[in-house]
Amino acid sequence: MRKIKFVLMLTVIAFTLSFTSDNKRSLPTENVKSLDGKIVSTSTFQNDGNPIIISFWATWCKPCVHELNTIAEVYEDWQEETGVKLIAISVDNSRTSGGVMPMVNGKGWEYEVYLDENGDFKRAMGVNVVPHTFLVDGNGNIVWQHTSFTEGSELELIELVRRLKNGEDITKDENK
Amino acid sequence: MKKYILIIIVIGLVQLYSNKTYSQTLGGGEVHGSFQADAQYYNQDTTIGADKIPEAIAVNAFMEMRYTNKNFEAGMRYELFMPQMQGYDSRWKGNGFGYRYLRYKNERVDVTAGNFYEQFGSGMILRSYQEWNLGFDNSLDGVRVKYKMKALTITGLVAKQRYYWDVGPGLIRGIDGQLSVNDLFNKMADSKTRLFLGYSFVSRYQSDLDPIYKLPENVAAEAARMELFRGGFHYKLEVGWKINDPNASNNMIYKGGNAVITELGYSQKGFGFTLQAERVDNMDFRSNRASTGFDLPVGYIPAMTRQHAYSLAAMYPYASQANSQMGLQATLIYKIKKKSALGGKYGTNININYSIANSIYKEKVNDTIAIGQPGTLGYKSKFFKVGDDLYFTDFNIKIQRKINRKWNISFMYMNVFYNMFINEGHAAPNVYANIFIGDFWWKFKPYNSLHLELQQLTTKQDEGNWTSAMLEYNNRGFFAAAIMLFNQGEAGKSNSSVYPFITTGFTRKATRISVSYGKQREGIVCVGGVCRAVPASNGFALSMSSSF
Repeated sequence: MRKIKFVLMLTVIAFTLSFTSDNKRSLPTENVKSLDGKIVSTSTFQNDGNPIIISFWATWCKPCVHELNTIAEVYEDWQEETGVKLIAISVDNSRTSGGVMPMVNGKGWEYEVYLDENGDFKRAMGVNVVPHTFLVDGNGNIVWQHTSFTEGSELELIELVRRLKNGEDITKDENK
Repeated sequence: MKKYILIIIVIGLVQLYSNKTYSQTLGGGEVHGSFQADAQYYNQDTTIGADKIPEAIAVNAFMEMRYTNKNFEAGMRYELFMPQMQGYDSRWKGNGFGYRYLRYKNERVDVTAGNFYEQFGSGMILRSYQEWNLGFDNSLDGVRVKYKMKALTITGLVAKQRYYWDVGPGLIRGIDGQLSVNDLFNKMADSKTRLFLGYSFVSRYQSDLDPIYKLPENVAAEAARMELFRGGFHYKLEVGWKINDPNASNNMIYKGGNAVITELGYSQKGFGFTLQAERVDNMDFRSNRASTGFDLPVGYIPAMTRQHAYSLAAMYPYASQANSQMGLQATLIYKIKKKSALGGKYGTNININYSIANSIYKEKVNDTIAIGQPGTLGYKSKFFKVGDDLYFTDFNIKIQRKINRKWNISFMYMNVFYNMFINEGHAAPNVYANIFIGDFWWKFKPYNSLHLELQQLTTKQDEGNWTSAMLEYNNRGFFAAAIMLFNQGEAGKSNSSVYPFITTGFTRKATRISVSYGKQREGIVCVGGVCRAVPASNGFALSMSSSF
């Protein structure tokens, strides 16, 4: 009976909420681990008011590594042009997380990389499969998300970053 | 009850298809979540362990929602297996809220009541996690409190463990402390060397109703760990032990358990190296001493081997042996500089990995007791002495190069040894296999690409040689792929088989829909820009996932 009440409560809340909208979503606060072992709160993610790309990936996920490799080639240009920063969140568990730092350095990626071994941040962001990429605006709101990586996805991503940088509201996008 | 479920599903669908309402807010609160549904129609096929079912169609689905408002959070996941897809445990059959919780957190305190996932250190003595696509969930159901100070974080919990639609019989109590030594002393705050220490204690209570043995009702496990970072170096060590815990997986022996996992790594730009070693002795720890297989694990002992994402490379994966294994793994990643003679215009990535797993050494406790005899101390072991049984080896090398703006190619070679009895539990000749893979990407327009993946596995054992070819087309969010897998069959027998498979679909933002038809083995499939674990199937399938 208690379970039913709880469900009912949540349903009513959800139902009311589904009729209101303000197109913004704040970044959830969870703890992740930096590659040098520090516990870092996601509330500290910032980029001086410039857009942030948050990319969930894993060492064993081919499309993820392909995405990060592809962006790595143009990352310097992207940063220069838009000031964007990429934060890569590894969802590797303790079986494969030992391979994260060697891979990041071995491939020469210049991203900010964190481990989410217990999956707290992944769950808070609603990530089911990797790669899953989010775009966060200068005020720390999530304004866009996308799963999968195929050739050319990076071109769409940087286009969105440019528009975000120009102050456009990309949450109203119907076509992307 | 069903009414509410329906309402929730309706809301979910409204959210999925409304483009304008990206998120929902009220009074500062937000609702977000994710959704996935897989439906499979089965053709007659007795060869792959996925035959016709009376219901004709099997559906696995879940919808997870969480409501957050300032420091408060509540979430739930509705799950449905009607019936469960072939390859998933039949105990999943059913539907209901398998996961729900309330949570309050601020900068110091984080309290969760209900279901939660937690990991102490590497998870050696406590790890609860979920892998939806593998049909695994051992979430804890109880209360967890975290308290964060500047240098120290303490986690305490009391819970039972999820067991399909029920909870396991064991009561789990745990406490963990993680200390950042640098943050403890001001002098060390800016030191280049960073040191972390951790300690955890877990106890399981399960009443003893055994008619023969007097069993410990409270089983304690402890683990201590350290992590050290300096410059490009890092070193990790975790040591754990458990008091005697006669259980179904160790054949009711009264020996205590212990485990050591250690890792040394060095990396700098363009170069990375890691060496890992592991020794595990009688460390299978569950919240029910009668459980085996994937049921109710409390501790997590990782397989120290590479997790492959090519289907044939992943055909013979090592199954971690929590009661006896000595393992070693080395990984080297090197990038040959771009614009060099060897590296080419964009540089060349080289990835070499080797892993080996062995049994631990065992000898008789005394002359009258056989090794592993139930109700005894079981055996004696010597820490550094390697056992006689080789479980697994894997040597693999992968070279990847972007040739020009249009072409990206990689090659992989792998040599694997796979102990059949240890990894699959039945007596059959051990497998020695060589695997060759070629992977070609042709990006003929900025958004259009073709992907060809060729794989060959050669072995004289098990089911013999395998060949796989995949051709995939991608255009923005749209993808279509055809996979042809061919098995020559065992040497000298004419039992070859073909696995044709086609799939197509699209991804739009965080929503993905795909349909497929054909026959596929259980394993990992990377297509259309994501990788997923899939069960064996033959027939028509529809798949959908979304985050909102």
